[in-house]
Amino acid sequence: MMLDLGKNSLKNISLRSASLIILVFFSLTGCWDNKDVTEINLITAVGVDKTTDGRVEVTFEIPRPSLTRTGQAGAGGGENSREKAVSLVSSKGDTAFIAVRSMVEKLAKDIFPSKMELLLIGEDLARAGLQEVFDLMERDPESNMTAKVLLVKGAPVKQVMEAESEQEKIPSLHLVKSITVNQDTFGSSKEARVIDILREVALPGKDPLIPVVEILEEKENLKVKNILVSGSAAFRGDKLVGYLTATETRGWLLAENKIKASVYSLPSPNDETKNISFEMYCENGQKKVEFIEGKPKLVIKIKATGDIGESQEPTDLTQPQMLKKLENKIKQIITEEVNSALNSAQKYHSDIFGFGDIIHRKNPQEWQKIKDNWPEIFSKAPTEITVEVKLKRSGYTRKGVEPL
Amino acid sequence: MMTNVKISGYQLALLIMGFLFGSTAVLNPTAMAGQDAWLAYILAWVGGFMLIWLYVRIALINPSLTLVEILKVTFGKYLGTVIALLYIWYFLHLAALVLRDFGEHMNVTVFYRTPMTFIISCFALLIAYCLRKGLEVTGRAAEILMPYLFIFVIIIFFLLIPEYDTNNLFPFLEKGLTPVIQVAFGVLTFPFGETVTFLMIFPALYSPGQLKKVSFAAFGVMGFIILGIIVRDLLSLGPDLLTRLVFPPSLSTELTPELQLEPLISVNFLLGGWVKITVCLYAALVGIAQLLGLNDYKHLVLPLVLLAVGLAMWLYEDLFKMMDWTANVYPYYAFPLQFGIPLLILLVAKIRKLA
Amino acid sequence: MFSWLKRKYKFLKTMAQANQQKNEQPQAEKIPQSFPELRAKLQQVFAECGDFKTREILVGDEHYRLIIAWMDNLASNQILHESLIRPLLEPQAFCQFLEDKEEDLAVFLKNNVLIAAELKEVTDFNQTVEFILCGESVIYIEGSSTALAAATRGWETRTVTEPETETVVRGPREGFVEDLAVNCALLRRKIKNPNLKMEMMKIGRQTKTTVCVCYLKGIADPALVQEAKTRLQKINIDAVLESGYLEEMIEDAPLSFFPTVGNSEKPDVVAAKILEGRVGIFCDGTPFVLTVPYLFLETLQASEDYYTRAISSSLLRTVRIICFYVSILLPGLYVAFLNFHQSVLPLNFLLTIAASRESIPFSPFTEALFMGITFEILQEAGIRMPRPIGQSVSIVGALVIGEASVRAGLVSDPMVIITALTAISTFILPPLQRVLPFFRFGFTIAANILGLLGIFFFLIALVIHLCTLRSFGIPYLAPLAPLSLSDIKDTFVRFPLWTMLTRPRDLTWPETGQAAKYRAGAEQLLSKMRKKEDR
Repeated sequence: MMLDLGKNSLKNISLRSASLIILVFFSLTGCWDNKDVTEINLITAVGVDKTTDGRVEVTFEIPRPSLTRTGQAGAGGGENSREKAVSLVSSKGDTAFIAVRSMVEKLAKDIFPSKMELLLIGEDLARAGLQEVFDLMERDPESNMTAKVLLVKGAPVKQVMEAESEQEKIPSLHLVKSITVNQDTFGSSKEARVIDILREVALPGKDPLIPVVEILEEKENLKVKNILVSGSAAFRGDKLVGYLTATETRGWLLAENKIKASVYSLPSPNDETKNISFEMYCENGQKKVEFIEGKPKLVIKIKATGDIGESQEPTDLTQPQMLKKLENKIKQIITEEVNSALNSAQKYHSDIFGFGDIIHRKNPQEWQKIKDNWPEIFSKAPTEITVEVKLKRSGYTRKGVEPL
Repeated sequence: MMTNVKISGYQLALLIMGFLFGSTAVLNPTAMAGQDAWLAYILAWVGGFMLIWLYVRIALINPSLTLVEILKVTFGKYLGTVIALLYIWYFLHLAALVLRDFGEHMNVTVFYRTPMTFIISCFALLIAYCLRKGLEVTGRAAEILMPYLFIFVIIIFFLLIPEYDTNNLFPFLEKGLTPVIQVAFGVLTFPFGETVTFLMIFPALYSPGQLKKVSFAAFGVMGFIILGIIVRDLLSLGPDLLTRLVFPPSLSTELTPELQLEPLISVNFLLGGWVKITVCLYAALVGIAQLLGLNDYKHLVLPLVLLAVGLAMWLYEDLFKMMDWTANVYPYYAFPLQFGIPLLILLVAKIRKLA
Repeated sequence: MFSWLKRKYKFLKTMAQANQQKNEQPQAEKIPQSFPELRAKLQQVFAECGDFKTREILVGDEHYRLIIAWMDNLASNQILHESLIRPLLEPQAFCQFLEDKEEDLAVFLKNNVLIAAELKEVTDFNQTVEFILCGESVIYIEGSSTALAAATRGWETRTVTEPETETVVRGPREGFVEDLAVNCALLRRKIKNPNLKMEMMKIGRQTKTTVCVCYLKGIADPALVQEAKTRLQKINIDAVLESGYLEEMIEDAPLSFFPTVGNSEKPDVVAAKILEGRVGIFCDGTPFVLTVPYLFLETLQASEDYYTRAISSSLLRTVRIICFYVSILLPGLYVAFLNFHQSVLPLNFLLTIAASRESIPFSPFTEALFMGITFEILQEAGIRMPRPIGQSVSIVGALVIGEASVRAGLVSDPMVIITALTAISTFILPPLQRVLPFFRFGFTIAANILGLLGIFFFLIALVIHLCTLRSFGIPYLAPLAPLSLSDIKDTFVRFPLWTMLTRPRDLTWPETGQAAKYRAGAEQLLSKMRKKEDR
């Protein structure tokens, strides 16, 4: 009977001891995916470019944590500040994947791209097609789908990445923040994330638009303030087809209802030499496609409100007639901007406004008929742009000060 | 021992909910229907209500009998045993499938280098421990753990709101109704039809009068939550990405601003998978014990769990084969067991009643 | 493993033998009538007992001889003097007896002479010995086989003070003391109800400690009371020096980390628990009173919750629950996020952590273990040290070890913060203070193997374990699992008192389904256990 008890307890402990043995065994032998933050290279920005011999060059921006820490007290602060907080490493390969992996040859630690904030794409690569890069981003579970994308115009990607920032320890963060702020308050460039482009590349009726960065003035010690994020690049599918200027980009943002605020200036109706500036807010931007005899017509409707931001002459601008005049002038400017954006898009055969997608969603039967030669139909489609402008406030003053 | 096991209505509802959530939320079986995923899902959901109604009717003919006993009563000793063996195999197979899904998901998302055998064995050990403690304990543990699952689903759903784009729902029925119905059929067999497993557990309900109410409520609530998940993935990823991805939720959670909440999806899979595998293996264990006339299944726990791990590891060579099989073969393999035989049981019972 | 089995086998064998011994009850023995014999016998029993005192008195015109026996300082000299010796030596005391001579002397003494509050007639010599050992005085009468035991207990006791383990801001400040009688009185003062039953029993072969089972008849489930009494009666050990001995012998899951028997030092806490239908077990010689059944949620409750306003105490409850999670999960989560799920953390945070960890030679896991163990050492040192030195321990701990190890680059700053936060959270849950470190280390190890997944593997296993536990038949996690909606009002938040209309369903009301259901399960388990024991 005692023996029976012993047997029973043996059975009871077998499961526990088995699990214990497995746990201890495995905790000793190794934890495969266990990697400490000090054992990985955090990556904040990735640049992808095409070399002249047709291979892919990948550049990583790797911050050095101890130097990125702000407000660090203690020894050597002054000396450290002269050191660069980030290091750039690049490598080449036949594919981006190979290039990324062969990077390890040059690094002491494993790479960790999950926190990358910025993806810079070279012009040559963009012309050849982005499919490869985005496929890699989508496939790799360690990639960051919310990273911002920038296209580098007229310079090697690496050169832009070498630019130092005076405001941020990590230059790419400076660029990332400036993109967002720009889109919200100025409107000369747009924000594009990897996931947005992934969605758009695959849609037959919509083409991606990627913000552009270019070097303003060539210098020995390039700073971020010497490079400019402005304008955008229009794609057809995954291939670069042309550029939109800053104002055209603003037109696009207005039509997409993505701009929060933007500034305009125009000569005063009273005195042509003086200017008046306005801050405009987009209230509503609508896109529609109307079918006239089976032919699509592209319609954009924009409703904007604004404040008077500054006036170089002391007229009372709040008079109804004056306001009407000003509103009409702004209307013209905005219409012109949107129109030029649309015209450029049509010129490039790149449906960055997503009119095709609108047809696809609202009118699938019609879409089936025209989808195969949509770029041509799009480029030749008639357009209609309606803009409504309303000035609502004038800041603290109604009338500027009159200098005697 | 087994006949004495009693669980409350709430516990049963939680078990059904966890079972339905299981691997469904991670694999998103509706993905192939693109922008009509929600429609395919709702069709399957309605079908699921019909199935659970069928199971409840069968269970209520004799509330104290499990499926294995019902089969023996309906089809006689020999044919009944053969069909019961089929079901036991099915339950075991189902558990192995979920285990494999779990291992693959972990291997793809976070634990790239950890051997799948290790992840699956750890999970299997946990389930063995749970099975040894019995269904009552499982039910009570579900009462504590399921709220986490709901909280995580809700957190992710609301954090992703800025990413939602209602344009992704259109165009409606672009390719017609046929592909939608095909997908709906697939969703009907996974996960709704799989609740046939609960015919082994219904007799444990404390008051059989609640059975219908409880199971319908569980189907309603969890059906709604899964609908929320499907709509979330569709709205945030768009139909094109949705159809291309292996594990859509893992990507959609990466879109949350600043944070990447992917681990929460893994944890939810763990919680749902735990309930599903435990219920499947419990059903298989009780079935085997009843066929062999044992009054305690505890000795069978470790061998059966090991068998499930083995099946999970060796049934499919790679992820592609398994995905292909689950998409193209599984519905036709499972449907007779989920619908055909239960219907037959009900018909035989009706005829006997008339005779 | 085999040696462990062998030891277990041996232990069970000795247990079986001990059980046999227990059945041999000491037999009753008559009190010798002749005094020389009695004296010899007393001398034999109390040989070499320096504190044993006797006094011989001649009373009733020196016709009768008495021996008074007592233990020095257990029996109060003053009471002995006032209530026994003085009346006996009163010259007129025996007049009536000498005239009548009808009554037995013992009865006469009891009725007419002695003025002690409690007098018992005893005929068994062994029993008189027991009375003497309990502090009573025994009066032996020559020529009579009856002795009188007078209640003269009067040893030194600690006064009722505020207990140090459970201090309150609002609420009664009195605490139990070491004396059982005082403790019982303290409780009786809270519940003035004849239904408050106190059943005494003696446990401990050598110590013969008095143990009191206390419950409210009509509210406590009779089956529960019976079960508690049965378990206590089954105890067969040499000594019961503290209620912890009893706790270990009666708890449901001795091998579990979690306590299934509660204890408290405060009469109001015990009274509240008894009023809910629990059973209190008082043990002589300790201020800690046991209460059964003890459920998990009681660890999160404090008596003050009911004395302060519902809203503020609900907030505190929530804080305590958060603390519970923090104290078991935080180091594990830290390891999991830093080693597996770096992508979850925002970039700036990650950079800060990476910067502070850059020069640290150890992994977060090693750090967490090191700091965890250091903390346990410091805590233990702080408790064991006399209070004045305790302060210097905390200085050494905080400054020397904490500060210096960061300076030396052995431990990173975030780890120090996490250890501190964990430690403070642990202090908030005193009943679990000795339990939580195990789980903290467990979660840390699990996190080091499989990250968040490992943590949840461990969490599920822990919850399953908690769900398996029962305390005297009640599921340990009740009323959360199984869920009882009417009882949930007093769990994560405390509803105002006027909404709590029903007593806890898990404990009382055997006629309703819930409790009966549990009991069925519990009885099955118990019968199984008993069968095992019988074997």
